[in-house]
Amino acid sequence: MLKRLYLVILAVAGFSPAALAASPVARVIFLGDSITEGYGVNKSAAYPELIAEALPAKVHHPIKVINAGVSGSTTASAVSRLKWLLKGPTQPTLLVIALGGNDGLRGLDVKAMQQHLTEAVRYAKAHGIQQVLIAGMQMPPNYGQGYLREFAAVFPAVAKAEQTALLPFLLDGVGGDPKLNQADGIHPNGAGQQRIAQTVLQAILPLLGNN
Amino acid sequence: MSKRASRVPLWLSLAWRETINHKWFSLAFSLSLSLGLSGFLILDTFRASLSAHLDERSRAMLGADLRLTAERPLTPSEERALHAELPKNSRERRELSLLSMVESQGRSRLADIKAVDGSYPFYGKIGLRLAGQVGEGAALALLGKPQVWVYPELLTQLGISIGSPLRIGDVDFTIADVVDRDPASASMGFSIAPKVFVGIPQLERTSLVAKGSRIFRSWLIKLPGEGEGADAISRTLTTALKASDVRIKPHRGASEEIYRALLHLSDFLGLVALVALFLAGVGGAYLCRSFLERRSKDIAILLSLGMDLRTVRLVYVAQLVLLATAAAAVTSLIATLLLPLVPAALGTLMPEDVAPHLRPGSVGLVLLMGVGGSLLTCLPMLARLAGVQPATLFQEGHNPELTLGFKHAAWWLPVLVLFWLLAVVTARGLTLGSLFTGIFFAATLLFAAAAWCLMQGLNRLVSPRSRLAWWLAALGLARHRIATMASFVALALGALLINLIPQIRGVLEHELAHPSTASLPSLFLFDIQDEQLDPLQQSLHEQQTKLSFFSPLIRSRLISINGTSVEAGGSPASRFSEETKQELRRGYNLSYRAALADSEELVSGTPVTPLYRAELGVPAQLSIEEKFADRLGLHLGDILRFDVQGVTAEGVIVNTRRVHWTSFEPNFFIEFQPGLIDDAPKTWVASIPSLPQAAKDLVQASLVRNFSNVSIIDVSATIERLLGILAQMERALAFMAMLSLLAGFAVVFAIARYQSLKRLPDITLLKALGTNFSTLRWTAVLEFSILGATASGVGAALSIGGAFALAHLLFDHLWSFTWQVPLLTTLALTLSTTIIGLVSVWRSLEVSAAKLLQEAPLQ
Repeated sequence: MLKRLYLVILAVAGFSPAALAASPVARVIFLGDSITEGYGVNKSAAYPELIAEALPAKVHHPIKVINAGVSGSTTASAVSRLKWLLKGPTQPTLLVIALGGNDGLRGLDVKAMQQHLTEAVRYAKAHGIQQVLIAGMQMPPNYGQGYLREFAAVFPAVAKAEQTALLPFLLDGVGGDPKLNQADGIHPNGAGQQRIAQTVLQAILPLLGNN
Repeated sequence: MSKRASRVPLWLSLAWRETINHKWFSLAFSLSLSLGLSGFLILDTFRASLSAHLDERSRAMLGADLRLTAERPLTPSEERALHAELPKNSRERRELSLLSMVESQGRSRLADIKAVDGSYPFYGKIGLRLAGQVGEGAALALLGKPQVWVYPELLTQLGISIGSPLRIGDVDFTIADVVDRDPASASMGFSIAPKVFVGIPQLERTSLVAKGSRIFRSWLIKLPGEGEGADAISRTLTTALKASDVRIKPHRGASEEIYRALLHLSDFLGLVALVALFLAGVGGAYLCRSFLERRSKDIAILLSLGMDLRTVRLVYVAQLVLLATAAAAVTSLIATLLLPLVPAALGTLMPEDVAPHLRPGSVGLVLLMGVGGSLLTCLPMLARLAGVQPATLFQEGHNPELTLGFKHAAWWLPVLVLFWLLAVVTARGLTLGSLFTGIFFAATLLFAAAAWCLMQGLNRLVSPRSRLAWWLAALGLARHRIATMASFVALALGALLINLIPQIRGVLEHELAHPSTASLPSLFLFDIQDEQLDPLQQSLHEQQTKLSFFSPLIRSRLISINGTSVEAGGSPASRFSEETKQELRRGYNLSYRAALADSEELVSGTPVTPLYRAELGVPAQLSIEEKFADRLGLHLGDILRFDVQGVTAEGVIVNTRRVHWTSFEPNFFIEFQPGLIDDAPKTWVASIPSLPQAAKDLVQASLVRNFSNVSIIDVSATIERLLGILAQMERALAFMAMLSLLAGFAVVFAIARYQSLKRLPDITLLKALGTNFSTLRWTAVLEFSILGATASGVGAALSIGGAFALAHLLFDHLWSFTWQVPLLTTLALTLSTTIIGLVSVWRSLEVSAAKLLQEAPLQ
C-alpha cells in the first residue's frame, strides 16, 4: 500500500529532469532503430513504452524508460547518440543497444559494425552505466547464408568480449511472421511490438535486480 | 439541261450558282475558315502524337501498362480477382526483386537482384554494352544459363569486368553483359545498390528465395491494343483486391514527379487544342456573320421575286455547307501534305521520336467544326433573315447589318452547347473543357460590354470639331455598331486566346526548370555521422570535388498540433484519413536551416530569422513544405510539438515553401530555424555534383574505403533519364506555344482583313467626295489602331485573370505574373491590325473611285 502511494506521488510530481536528478529513479535507455522507435505504430505502442507500462508491476523501485529509437540509424551513430543521452547528471542503470538492423539491410561491413558496437559498450561503461544489454538481430535469408552467419555472429562476439548481457534475437517469434509485421514485412505492428516487449522484459528484469 | 435542272432542287442550284458567281468571296471565305481549322487540326494532331509519345515513354519506364507490387505472393483469391478484372488478351509477366550480398574475387557488395522472365521488357529497350539495344525476348538468354547483366558501378565496386564470375547465394554466375541504359531507372526510385539482372529460374537455384526472405514481387500487365484504360483498370483492381499492401500503378504513375509533370503537360496540350478550337470558332463565326450580312441585299432580291423564306434559308445554308466542306477538305489536304515535312523543318524544336499522323477522329472533328460550327454560329443570323424587307433594296445608303437583340439570345444556345461538347472532347476532360468554355463565354460578354463602352466613349470624345481624321475614324467605328462590336469581340477573344498559352507555358517552364547539368547531383550520401562531416569534406577536397549540398537530419516524432495530440483517437487525428494517420505515426526527419535553399521558394509567410533565442520565450520558427502542409491541414501560426529523441521541441509555422523537385537535391518537409535542435543527435545527408565517370569511380572507392557506414546512391543515370524527359516536355511546350501563336495570328489577320475590306465602300465614298489621301490614310491608321489596341489590350488584360484561374485550378497554384507577354502581344496585334487596315486602304487609293464604285465590295 505504501509502495503504491509512493508511486502515485511520483507520478503526480512528474518526471522533470530536476526531479530525476534528485530522486533514486532508475533509468533504462533503449538505443535502437525504427523497431525501437515504433515506426508505423503509435508512440505509446512501441515496445520501450510497453515495457515502461509493465515495469512498475514487476520491479520494486521506480523506473524511467527513455526510448532513443531513431529510424534508419546504424551502429555508426551509437556513440554520438550516447553522448547526447548521457549529458544529464544521473547515468542510466541499464542501456539496451538494439542497433545493427540497418547495417545489415544496407549490406554494411560487419567488421565495422562490430567495431561500432564495441565502442558504444565501452563508452557506456566508461560513463558509469552498470548494465548493458545487446539485443541481437538476424538478416532475412535473401542476403545470403555467408553474410547471415557473419552478421549474426557479431552480437554474441561483442557481448562475450565486453562481458555484457545478450538477447540473442530481438525479433524472436516476430521476424517473418506476417501477422506480427506491417505490410513492409520488416517493421512489427502493434501485436509484434507487444511480443518484443515480452521478450525484452524477460531479458532486462534480471539486470534490474528482479529474477 | 432541263432534265438536270428538274433533278436538282432549286435551292441547291441557286446555292451552287451563288458560290460560283461569287468565286472570289467563296475562295476567301473557304481559305479563311481553312486557316483557322488548319491551326486546330495541326495542334490537335501534334497534341495527340505528343501524348502518345509520352505514354510510350512512361510505359517503358514502368515496363508495362500496369504494375502490381507486393512484398508477398498474391493469394489465390487475389490472383482470381486480378485475372477477372483484366481485359481478354492481356499479357502478364513476373518480376522478383531482392537485396542480397554478391561476391567476386574475395570482395562482396550489396546488390539489387532483379529476376525477370523471358518476356522482359514488355516496353522500351534495355541498352546492353555488348548486345546493344534489346527489346522483349532478350532476357531469354538469362533463363537457361547462370548468366547475369549488371549495372556498371558493380564492376567498379568489385574490380571485375564482363566475363568475371559473380556468386549470388549458392550459385556462381558469369557476368554476360553490362546495362548501360535501363528504361526503368527513372521510375523505380533510387536504389541503394547496383542492379543485377538474373532469370527467375536461375534465382530459384540460389536459395535466396526462402521463408522469411524479403522479396518484392511484381506482376506486370500489358493490356491489349494500345493499352488504353490503364488508369481505370488500376482503380478497379484497387477496389477488387482490397489489399493495402498491394501497390497498383498505371504507367502514367511510373514516376510521381514525372506523372505530375505529364498531367500538367497533358492539361497544357488540352488547353492548346482548346485555344485552337476556339480560335477557329471565333474566326468561323465572324466569317459566317459577315457572309450573311453581305448577302442581305441578295436575300431581299430573292424575297421580292416571291421566293419563300424557307427556300431562301436553304440556299444560304447549302452555300455555307458547300464552302465549309470545301474548307474542311482543304484543311485536311494541307495537313496531310504538310505534317510529314514538319519534323524535318523544325529540327531540334520538335521533340524527338514524335511522328505526327493525321487521325481520322481529328479530320472528323474538323468537318464537324467546319460545317456544324459554321451553321450553328450562323443560326442567329439565319433566324433574322425574316427581318430582311425587300423595301430595303430601295433605301438610299442602306447599311446591311443584321442586328441582333437579346430576344435572339436563345439562338446562341446551340452554339454554346456545341462548343462546350467540342471543348470537353478536345480537352478530354469535363473540368478543363467546362472551365475553358465558361471563361470563354464570360469573356465574350465582357468584351461586348467593353466594345459598347468604346463606342460610347468615342461618341463623347470626338465631335465634328475634332481633327477630320479623328472624327472620320470615330464615325467609322461608331456608325457600324454591330460590325465594330463583332470585330472588337473577335479580336479581343483572339488576343485572350493567344495570350493564355504563352503565360501558362511560362508557368510550366518555371516548374520544369532545372539547374545546369554541371550543378546537378551525381551521388547522394546519407547516414554521414556528425563527426564524419569535416573529414568527408576534407577527403573530397583532396579529390578536387566537394559536397554540393549537405543538411542535418534529425529524427523525431510529432506529438501534437496546437496542443492536441496526434495519436489515434484524439482530435485533430480524427479528421485525418487512415493513410494520413499512418503518416503521422511514421516519425519525421527534421532539419534546420537559416535560409531557403536554391531549390526552394517561399509560398506564404516570412523567412525564418537566423537564430532561435530561448530568452524571448516564444517557440522556434518552422518552415513547412506546402504540399505537406496541405496534406495535414497545417497553417501559418500553428504550433507543432516534437519529441526529439527524448527532448520536447516546439515550433510555430512561420512560412510554407515550395520545393523545385527538378533540382534533385534532398529536401525536408519540416525545417526548424537554427538554434533549438542543433545539438540533437543527427546524421547528415549530402550530395556530390556531377563528375566524369572515372572521377566518380575514384570518389566512390575512396568513400567506401574511408567512410564505410556512409551509404552512397549513384543518381547520375536516373537524373539523366529524367532530364531527357523534361527536355522533351520543354520542347513540346515551346513548340505547341509557337503553333498556337501562329494559329492565333492567322485568325486575327483574317478578321482584321475582313474588317478592312468592309470599310472600302466608305473610303471610296470619301475619296469620291474629295477627301485627301493623307486624311484617309490617317483615318485608317486611327480606326484600326484604336480597334486593335483596345481589343487586344482588353483581351490581353483578361488573359492574365484567365491564366491565373487556370494555373490555380489545373496547375497546382503555380502562378507568377509576367507583364512581358501581354504587352508584347498587345503591341504586335495592334501593329498588325493597323498595317492590315492601312494596306487595304492604300490599295484602294490607287484605284479610281469610279472603278471602286462599280465593283461590289468583297466579291
